[in-house]
Amino acid sequence: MKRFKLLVPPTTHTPYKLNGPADPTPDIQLFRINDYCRRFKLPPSINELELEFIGGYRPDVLKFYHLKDFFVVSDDIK
Amino acid sequence: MVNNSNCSFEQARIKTKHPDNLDVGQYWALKVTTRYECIIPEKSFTNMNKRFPPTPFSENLIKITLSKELAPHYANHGKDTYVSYPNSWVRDVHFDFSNINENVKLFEPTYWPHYLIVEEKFAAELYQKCRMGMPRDYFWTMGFEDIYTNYNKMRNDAR
Repeated sequence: MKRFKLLVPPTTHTPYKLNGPADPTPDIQLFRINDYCRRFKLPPSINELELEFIGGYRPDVLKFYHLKDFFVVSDDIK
Repeated sequence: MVNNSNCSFEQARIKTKHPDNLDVGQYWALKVTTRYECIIPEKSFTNMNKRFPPTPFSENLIKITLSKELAPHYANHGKDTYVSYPNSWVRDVHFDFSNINENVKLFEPTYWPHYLIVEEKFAAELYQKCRMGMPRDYFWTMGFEDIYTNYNKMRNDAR
């Protein structure tokens, strides 16, 4: 029988920066202080977003980034 | 991921930038779009303070009507409504996995978009494919018991 688990984003530092326009999000904290909405689809500005690798002298280029609403992965991981 | 997870994804090419202008190849944004309604809300709970009785998800549903601008991107119930079980102070969550297609290894609970469900073996294989040299925290996996406490414990252990 299959065993399932939750897959969650890590809170440890991941060396990236996302550049581009920020899309509007629901102001759910008007109603629920501790909650936030998750997207049903990729953000409309996805084609304008740029993942910048940052970090030390030679920044790590990882194959998988968990950006909460979606993943960013390298071609071979996809 | 796309071929082996039996999960559907919304996909988009994503631009990358490296400070040394290294060619790192193509990167993709992947959004999980396989969704199953599998949470048992009467047996899943939130509880901010353990001195008080926990509240079942069934009594703590978030339901908001979205503006026209936001509805196309956030509505998960009808055309303009966002529905979600809570994501804060989550304790034990119970699922009914009996309706999950047997080949599916990754999916999102329909009204719990803050979390993904992954088959344990697939998660281990994905981690092995992601790691290069040093192990990194690409993602974490965890059980369904006292999620708030256990996630915070993982955060503290990782520091």
